[in-house]
Amino acid sequence: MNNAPDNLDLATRDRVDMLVSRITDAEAGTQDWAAFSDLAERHPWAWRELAQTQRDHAAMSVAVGVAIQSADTVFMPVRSRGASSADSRPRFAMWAGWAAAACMGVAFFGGLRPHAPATMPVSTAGVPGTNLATWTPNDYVQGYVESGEKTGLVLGEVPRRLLLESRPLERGDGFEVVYVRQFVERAQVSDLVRFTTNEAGRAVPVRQVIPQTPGSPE
Amino acid sequence: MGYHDDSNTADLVAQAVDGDQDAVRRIWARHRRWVAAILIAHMPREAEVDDLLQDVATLVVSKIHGLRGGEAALRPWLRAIAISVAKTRGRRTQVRKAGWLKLVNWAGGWSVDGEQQRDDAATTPLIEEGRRLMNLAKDLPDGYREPLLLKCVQGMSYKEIGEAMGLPDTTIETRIARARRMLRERAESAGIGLTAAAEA
Repeated sequence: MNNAPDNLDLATRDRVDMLVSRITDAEAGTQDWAAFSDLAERHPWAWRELAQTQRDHAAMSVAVGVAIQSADTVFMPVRSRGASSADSRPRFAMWAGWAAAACMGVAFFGGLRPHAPATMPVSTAGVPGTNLATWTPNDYVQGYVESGEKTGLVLGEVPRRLLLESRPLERGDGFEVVYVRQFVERAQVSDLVRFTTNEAGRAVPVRQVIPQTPGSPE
Repeated sequence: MGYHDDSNTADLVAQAVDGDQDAVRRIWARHRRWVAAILIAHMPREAEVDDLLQDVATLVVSKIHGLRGGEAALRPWLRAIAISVAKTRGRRTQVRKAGWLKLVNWAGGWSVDGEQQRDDAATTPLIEEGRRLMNLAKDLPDGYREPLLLKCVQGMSYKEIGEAMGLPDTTIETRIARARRMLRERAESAGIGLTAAAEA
């Protein structure tokens, strides 16, 4: 707020700052408005202060809104009401949610990757063999990753697994966890549309422009 | 705040402490947006807010049974967890992310959070200005940065921010006003503002 004259006394400066801020936050009462009007009559730069502060606040509110909108996709790792065992052992179930998350975190931080089982049939070229009847789901995933890496489709698995839900096992020797595994793939496409957010907070598609390299046709 | 739920907060807190997981979920849905703003105020620049928010959610689930003081204690408790996560795990997140950035950042110029894409895109001037101001706000002193960012979360009053920070409303109001002045002075130096917009 540098619209104020340099020789302005500090008390007036602070008073204008407070009133402008209160008006911007829609927390000003009738007396505040009267005081601001009176000050602005003597110090017209106060109007510009008000306009600038309101613009800053609007811009920051939009940016903060965009930055935190992903919060709506972060859910609690708890079971919904009516699910078995949750109501009978609530605190244990909550603790279990934390414990399972911690274990998965260790698996992630430690960089553990799914192991290819000893029974997994692998051809001499490193591509899984054809005895599919003996494959487990993990074998298929491993086959997908290895085959994808060879063809260039798959770059790898994102190490972090997202825990959605957890509950203690009935037999009391562990936990059942529901989680998301994510894989990074590569593809070539002719068009790309990215979604950004407009000033009203709505998603707007923006087609990506292909950068022109030197020597390429305009 | 963006979540339609008529339940009384005091009842929800009591139910959550007593182990009702549906109540925990509803409390989280009401508060996660401003908790995200707390994370932004305290986390390292490179950290990802949704990663840290997931950590906060996990801690809330595991520790809410120990919450004492009812509704009045809820906001300060959530804030304390968020600050702790932002300061301790934020740094770890940076290290971890560096590992798999190499994996994802294969196409030259693409980053995990899409920053590069954002820079190239035709974003509206107000959003772009807001991002630049947020960047500058990250360098404000702690006690000023946090209330300023919380005020930008739709619907948060001085009173609610004061409850979360354990400070009187009047202190919050004064800090927000001073934070705005500090931010504006920095923005002027960076060429952000009405004058710069008029000259452009």
